[in-house]
Amino acid sequence: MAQQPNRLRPFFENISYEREDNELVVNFGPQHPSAHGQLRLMLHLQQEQIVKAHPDIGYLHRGMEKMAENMIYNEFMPTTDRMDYIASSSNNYGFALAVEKLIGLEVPRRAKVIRMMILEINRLMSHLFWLATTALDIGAMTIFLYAFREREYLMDIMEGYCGARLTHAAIRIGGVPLDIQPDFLEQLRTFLGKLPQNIKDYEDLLDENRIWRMRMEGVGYISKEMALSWGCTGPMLRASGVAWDIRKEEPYELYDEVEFRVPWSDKGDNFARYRIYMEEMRESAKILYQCIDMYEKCVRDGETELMAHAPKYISAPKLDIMTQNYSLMQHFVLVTQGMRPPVGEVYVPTESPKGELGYYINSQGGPYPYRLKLRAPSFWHTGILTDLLPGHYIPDVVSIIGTTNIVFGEVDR
Amino acid sequence: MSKQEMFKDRNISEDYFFLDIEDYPTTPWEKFKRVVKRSLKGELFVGLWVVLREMIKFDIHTVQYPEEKLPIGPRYRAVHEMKRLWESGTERCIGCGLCEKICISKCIRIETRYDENQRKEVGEYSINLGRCIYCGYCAEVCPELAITHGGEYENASEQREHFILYEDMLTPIDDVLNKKQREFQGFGAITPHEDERLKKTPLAY
Ligand code: SF4
Ligand code: SF4
Repeated sequence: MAQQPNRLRPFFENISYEREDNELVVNFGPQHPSAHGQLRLMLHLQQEQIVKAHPDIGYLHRGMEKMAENMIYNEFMPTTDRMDYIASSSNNYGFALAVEKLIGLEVPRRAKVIRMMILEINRLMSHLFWLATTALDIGAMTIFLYAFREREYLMDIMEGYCGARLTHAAIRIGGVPLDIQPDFLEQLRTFLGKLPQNIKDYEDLLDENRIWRMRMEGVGYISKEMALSWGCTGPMLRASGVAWDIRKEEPYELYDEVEFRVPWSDKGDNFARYRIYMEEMRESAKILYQCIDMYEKCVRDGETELMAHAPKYISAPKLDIMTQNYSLMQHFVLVTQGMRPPVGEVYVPTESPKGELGYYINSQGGPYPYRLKLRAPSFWHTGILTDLLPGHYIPDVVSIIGTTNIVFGEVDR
Repeated sequence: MSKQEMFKDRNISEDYFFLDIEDYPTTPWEKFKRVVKRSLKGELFVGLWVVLREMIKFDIHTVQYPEEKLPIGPRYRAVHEMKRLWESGTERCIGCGLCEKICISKCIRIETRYDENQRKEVGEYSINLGRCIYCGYCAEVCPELAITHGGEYENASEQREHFILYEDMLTPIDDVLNKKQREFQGFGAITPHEDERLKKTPLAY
């Protein structure tokens, strides 16, 4: 019977549900600390078992796609930081790459190398954060502290580079805004030297731990068909038996020049995902070592360009702006009116730490994008919860949400 | 299933590697065996040892915040500063309004007017620090290196709106004359050694 809620007869959801088929409805979130921000899960329970799950999103909705339609392209960059705020440069990068594709811009090599380093640092940051929070959700406090300690080093490196710890805005359309700071490479090498031991510590603590295994093994099984039909990407897809990584399939940046291998597994459960995250950290460290070498080679070869040279779209370097009249005029036009990419549309996928992050831009030749669509991996990984959770028990919900690695800035956008 | 064809029969041996995860025990007997094996290996003690080792290293990373403060890097983006020219000590800002235009959160407000010599002069200049997202774009677009970020990050306030005025941000004139003004190295700064690249304007036409 439909209830008409009013002040005298409030709406008691649970009463009506209980009358119908004896299910208890529990709201998991939006304030639950292990619900990763603003996830509200409506769980229908039969005793402790979930029979129906309905993720309710939108608590962090800021309307980014609409905001983009009212901003010049450069202005949108800091907004993308606020999507996946755990690895914000990867969002910056996806947007920059999409606009560069749209206007057909070639980025100087030195900028590319710096971008690669930033991207992989962000991947490490995100994976460490994932490990910390998931372990904390499951009850392993020590891992949380250790992983956050390591993440702090990386944040310090990023802070030294761009001046912010979380919302970097460290990549520009057409290149990077700054060269790396003088002690960047040294700090990075120190960190990378310590990382293998750290990862080994985490694995010592977790791999054989029987509580961890019980919470992970066989929990949250996603079959290959299910992963594909729900649009899973990234580690979620690779854990379910599909070896697919955009860095390998459609290499962007310099990913075709570095040597690394991507782990995959067909177990499909939480444990496989955990292992994939750990292995990816090792691979990221490998990529970073190679990037350091590439950067040093760039320095030796005397490549100093950090921004592409395209006066129609990109402002000249600061010194030119301050010394040359034409550059200054160009700069004023580009800031006050914005660049005008040619008419066209692009969709550019990149492999963010969480999966396929895609930007679709439809340009009508004006200074604002006509339409900008963001394809954020976490959104799809939230959707799969509807299908994944039924049959599991309440404690498993926490560990499954943990391993899906959803970040709500990205889901709600 | 045609969409899934692309995932079949691909040669992935070079780019990917298969994670070797042993099969989970299914029968009660196997489970029992694993429990015994694990217990003999002392898996809990491994964890304890890792933690103990970290503990006796006394490699402590905690910073006792209000007493101890971590140094702030030269590129850190915190509360803005307005710089002065080195030689004359006059204000660099010319009131062009680029920072107001680019500001993503629209928190800069400038009013300009004529001064007594009929030159443009900045009248009112305020930044609402409660809205500012410290993106660094104002510093990046400023053609005069006037607005930059500073290192002052402790700006707790009782209200959300917290306006900072031009005079508060401006470097004190004494600091410039004593050469104590610091150039900002972050977004919008001139790349070091950039002037070596610069060519003189050809005079002979
Ligand atoms: S840092 Fe960004 S938000 Fe803050 S005043 Fe400058 S442009 Fe505006
Ligand atoms: S601070 Fe810079 S950008 Fe802003 S008005 Fe002054 S000169 Fe122009």
